[in-house]
Amino acid sequence: MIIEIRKFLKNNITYICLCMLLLTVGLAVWSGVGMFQNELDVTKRVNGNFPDAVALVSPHQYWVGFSEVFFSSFYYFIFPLIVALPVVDTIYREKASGSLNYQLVRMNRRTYYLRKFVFTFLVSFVLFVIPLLIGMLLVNLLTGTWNFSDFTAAYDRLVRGTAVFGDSTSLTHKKELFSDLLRRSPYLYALVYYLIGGLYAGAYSCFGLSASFFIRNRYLVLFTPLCLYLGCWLIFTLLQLLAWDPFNMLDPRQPVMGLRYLPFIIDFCVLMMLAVFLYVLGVNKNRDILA
Amino acid sequence: MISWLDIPRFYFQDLKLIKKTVIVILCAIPIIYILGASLNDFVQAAQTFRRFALSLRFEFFYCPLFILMLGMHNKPSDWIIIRRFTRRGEMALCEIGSVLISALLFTLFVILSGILVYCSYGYPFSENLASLSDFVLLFYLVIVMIGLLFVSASAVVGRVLASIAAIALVVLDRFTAAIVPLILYDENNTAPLAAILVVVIVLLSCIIVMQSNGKDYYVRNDRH
Repeated sequence: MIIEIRKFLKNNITYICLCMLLLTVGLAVWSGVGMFQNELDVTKRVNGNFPDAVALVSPHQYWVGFSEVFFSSFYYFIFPLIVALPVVDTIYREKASGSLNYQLVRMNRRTYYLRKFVFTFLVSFVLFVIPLLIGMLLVNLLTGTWNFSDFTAAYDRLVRGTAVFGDSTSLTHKKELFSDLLRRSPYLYALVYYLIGGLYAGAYSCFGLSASFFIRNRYLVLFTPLCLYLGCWLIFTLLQLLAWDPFNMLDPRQPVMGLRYLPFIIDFCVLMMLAVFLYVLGVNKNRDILA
Repeated sequence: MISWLDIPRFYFQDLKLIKKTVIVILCAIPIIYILGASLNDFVQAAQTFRRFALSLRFEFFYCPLFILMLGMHNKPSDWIIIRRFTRRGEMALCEIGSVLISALLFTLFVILSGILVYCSYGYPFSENLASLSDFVLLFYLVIVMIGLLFVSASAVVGRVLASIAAIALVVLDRFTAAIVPLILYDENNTAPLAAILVVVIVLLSCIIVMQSNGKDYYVRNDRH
């Protein structure tokens, strides 16, 4: 694994991708903090007599993925491509350069391929989660809010139906999924969503890695995770199964109705099984060093 | 010296190398149309062919698909490409020509398969020929503009990053200024919009020719 980490750190694309992710997060935070200040001012002016309404306008709603800010949505749109870029074509490149054969005669074939698969999954997971956590810290730092007990208390009252609001307060704050976590702390809610997103990011990258055994065009290999993500979005949208689409499911805002816990598990399992199946098929296809 | 007539020949020579993938990409369009026309209320509710075609979102479907189709071609620095030319300008012209032909193929496929599915599902084809040709022209020009933008960006940052930039720009436009949707949905100002798009395309073409003068085609960089 250390060799893989060294290769990963020596790759320029790693730093380019990290910069792109951090830039997107930075822009999302910058726009989000501005929007938060505006919304807080308006709410204090309009609903200043209703403490619950003011408490519900919380900075955590401007963490990356939580807000309507363009760059926040864009992060969730483009992540399968960017988190996969440094790792998805590693086998393809090593095969093209001949390094694959050089390594295979020096180590167990199964260990090599297993290591590649696990490493791709972990790297994509980390690349997805770390910028989001940095975004979370930046928003808290810029708004000076680290304790969300006012929000959780107001949200608890909202769920119980005892909160007192003015007429203009939107009730869209109420979440269908993981609502209990949000009642405890927005940190828990965000972490769960970021972890699930990270798992999916890993699965998309592993699918791309598996596809690299069968696709000869490097450009296409790099785009496989995004193609799968957007392809699923298109097909699930046309089939009107919005709650089953990772594009909607992974979004912490919960933008569609009828979301359930089961699709999270089923989609992920299907995706991973598909990736593993293709990977095993690809590894067997490349069993012979002269293949 | 190559002539203009060589550009389609070169293009189809290159296309032969990736024909299977291009067929898969192009076949995705009618399949998605059929799925939409059979199962999706929003697509079924389209009153005109223009609305039917645009019910599949431009920024999430047509644009990434076209960029993918363009990006799969060989890089200009690949020796099988570079050996054809004697001057830098020729390479730039060939790249521009490839975008024009790719866009034409893509547009024709979108429109023809769309009309086929639209009519076979029993939608009344209420559009007249003038309105349809306006839409086809604007769609083609928009696709060409995005393609040239991609080519220009790929000369600086490589194909993958250029793809991300082009897709991001179209998505950004959709959620901010909405220029592309404005052009595609507009039914009354085709001539001025087409004129503006042609000017932008000519400008981008000039930029690509200028970029080719300073570009190092001999660098072996497989990173992008």
